[in-house]
Amino acid sequence: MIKLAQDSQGLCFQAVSVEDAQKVKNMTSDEAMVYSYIETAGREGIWTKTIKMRTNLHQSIVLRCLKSLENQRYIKAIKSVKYPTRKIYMLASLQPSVEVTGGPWFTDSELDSEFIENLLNITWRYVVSLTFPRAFEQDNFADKQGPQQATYPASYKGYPSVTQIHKFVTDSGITNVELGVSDIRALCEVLVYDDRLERRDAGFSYKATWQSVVAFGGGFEGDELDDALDGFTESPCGRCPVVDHCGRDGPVNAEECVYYDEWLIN
Amino acid sequence: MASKELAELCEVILQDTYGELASSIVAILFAHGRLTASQISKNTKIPLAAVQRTLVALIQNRFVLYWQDLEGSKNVYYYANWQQCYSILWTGQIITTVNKMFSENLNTSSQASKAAEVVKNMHIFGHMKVQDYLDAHSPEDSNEISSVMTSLVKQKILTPLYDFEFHPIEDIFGQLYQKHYKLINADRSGPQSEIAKKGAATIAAETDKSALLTRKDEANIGLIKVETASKNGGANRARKIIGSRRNASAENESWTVDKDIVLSVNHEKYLLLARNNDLVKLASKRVGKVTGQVYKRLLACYESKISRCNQEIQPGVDFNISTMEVAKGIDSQLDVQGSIVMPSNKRKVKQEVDDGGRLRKKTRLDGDLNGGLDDDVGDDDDDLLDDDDAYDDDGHSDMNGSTNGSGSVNGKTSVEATNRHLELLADSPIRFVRKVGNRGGGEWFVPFNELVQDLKRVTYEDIITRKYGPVATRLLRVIREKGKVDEKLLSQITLLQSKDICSHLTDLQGIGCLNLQEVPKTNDRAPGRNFYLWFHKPTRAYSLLVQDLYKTMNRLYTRLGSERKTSSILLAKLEREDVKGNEETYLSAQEKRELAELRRAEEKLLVQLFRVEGLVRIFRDY
Repeated sequence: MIKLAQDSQGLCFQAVSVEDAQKVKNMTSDEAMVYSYIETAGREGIWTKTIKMRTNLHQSIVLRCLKSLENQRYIKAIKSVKYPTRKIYMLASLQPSVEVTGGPWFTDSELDSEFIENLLNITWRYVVSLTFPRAFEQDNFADKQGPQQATYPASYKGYPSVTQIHKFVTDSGITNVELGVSDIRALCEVLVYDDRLERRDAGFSYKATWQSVVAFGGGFEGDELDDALDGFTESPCGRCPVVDHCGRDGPVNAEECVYYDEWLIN
Repeated sequence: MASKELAELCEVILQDTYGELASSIVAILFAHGRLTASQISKNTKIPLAAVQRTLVALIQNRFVLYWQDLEGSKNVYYYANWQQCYSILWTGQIITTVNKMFSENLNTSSQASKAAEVVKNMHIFGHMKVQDYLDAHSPEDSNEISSVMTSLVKQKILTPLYDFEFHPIEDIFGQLYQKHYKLINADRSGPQSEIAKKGAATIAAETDKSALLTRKDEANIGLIKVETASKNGGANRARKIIGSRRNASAENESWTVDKDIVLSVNHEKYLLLARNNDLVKLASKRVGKVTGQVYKRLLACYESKISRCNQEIQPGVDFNISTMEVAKGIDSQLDVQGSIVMPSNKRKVKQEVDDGGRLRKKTRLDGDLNGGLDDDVGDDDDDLLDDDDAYDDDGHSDMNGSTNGSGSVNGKTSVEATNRHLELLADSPIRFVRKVGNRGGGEWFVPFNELVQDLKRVTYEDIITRKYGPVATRLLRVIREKGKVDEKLLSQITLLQSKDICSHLTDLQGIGCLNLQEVPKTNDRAPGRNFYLWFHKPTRAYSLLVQDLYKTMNRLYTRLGSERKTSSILLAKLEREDVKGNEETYLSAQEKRELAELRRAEEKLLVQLFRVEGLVRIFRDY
């Protein structure tokens, strides 16, 4: 009914609730020992190998204990993002910590790239709406009378800050995953590295880039969609798999090159 | 020294334009470095007389430079000059540029074509004395040609050619160094230690060398005043030019081309124009089309101020451009004012106030726009194009009122609106322009050196994106910003799985974009116990890319040659005198088809070649 605990002043005793005491009472001594280690590991969980090492029990005994504890739903197995191959146990009543699950970006301990991609797009769209007036309205100017450019002046201060973006994302109800401001900042940073956002005021707020708007089909008459390849990548040599073997009199050469044949026909 | 890829490319270019003989001689020079004529003959197994004949033509075009060793053997050595060989590729573009420039500047069409012709001939012959060129034409023509030449020299498209440009610059430096070293050595009162002597000689030689090179940058070089020309001929030209530089600003004086000088095409000027073009494209893409046009005007103001791409310039009276100057030349059709939308939309303001950080945001907005914001909200009917009233309400400048008063056409290109566009450019993370003062409605400076770095970076990222996808570019940007990064951190920052990252990283390493550093944790350097840090070194990455670009150009050009070779019978037939001009009657349907096919292939290859060339320019010449 009482267990040893430690605080900053030294060893002390702590009362244990009746149910918990009941649980332990019904276990074998081995089970109780394994259970106590899992309990102390808390939300971080504990690796089976560590249990074996600490308890000095034989592998088969540890496994048997874990099995019986799991069957009684006292403990559960979880997957860690850091060590996906390890078998880690924790008390059934606890939620795994962020360290173990990897934060909001992980679903079933795998990076949920689809989720991230969606959030990136939503965030970007929101910033675009505050960066450019009429970025995606070129369809309204079907008669080609639309403006050539519409930009806010440099003194414009309406670029959204991270908190603002965070508020937008949480309010919009796109996701029920708990997202912190720092998570949103991470998203924005990814967008910066994708050249779709720019940092403003040393990262206080973010601004969308014009070429990203054009690339996503926005922009005005004459902002040609810049998906044409550059001269290098378009030429056969730019994406030739055997370019390193290509030489004037070598087995691969420009005169007999099949990639050129193909390219010249198209 | 040219790399293997570049040497091969030059060879292919020369083979196409100047024939087998020229190309094989230049190839030998590339392969062996400097050689004497007899060594060339030995290496190529071409008779000495033929070699010498070819060398004359090559030297005339400066594809080959020479140097006589005056001290020892008295041998004359020849060097291959890749810059000049490569610049053959620019010929077409330079001629087009000149033609366009002359047609735009309200010259007659005959002048435009004359100018193009002069430039073309200069390319064919390499260089030419003005008098000789004029003598070759009828007296009626020569007057017009001379005036065209004058403006070509004024715009620095043609530039005087000096003796030293036929020699390798390293040898010139060597000679200067030896001269100064001897002087210093003889001078007893001078430095005593060997190191000090060498240092002093190097500095003196460097000064002499740069004095030699800057001779070409003088404002009115190659020109003489009309009245002095008639009085004194070109006798004491040098003094006149120096004297005239003091009042070079007096532009109403009439100048004419000096008939005694030798002219050649100035590639530096072409590169400057091409660089401006690329920068305008970048600005249009990153900021907007109208801003791009404003930027074009700004860059045009620099055309007469700088003479080569890598010139070091500092903000100052000489290189600052005022908004007035920019606004003057802007096309009145351009919607300079309407393209900037004041954030006066009711909805927008409300959103602003509603969102987080509201109070501070609101006050900031008000402070910046002089409260003009609230005034506008009332009369704005979503017609943001036509908000001249809003501008007056802003009360930003006195200038605005006067231009608006004089008529709405002028108002469109007002200094105020131009300033807004320039501010946008200055605001961009790409360092398009810097604001340096407030005189004349605002003073601006273009930091070309930094800007070119940004241009290279953006172009490189574009290539990587196209080739390896956006993920690779995301990784590259992270690595560039963070310095040295290990895979775990990369995965954290980019929100990507490490198994997705790996393949991209190795791809990028394969082309020299990324490098890997291993830092062992333990003494045994076990691979499992190492840190692996990725980093990006721009200079290395760019230079490797340029080599790949050379290779691509080389292949494109070679393929062009081989396409022509396969149709050589047809081409030979086209060359026949009776067929020329009568292709319709003499060619069979089959031949016509073949010809059309060949022309199509040729066009495709050439267009591609010049597009790749444009990339090389960005990474190498700007």
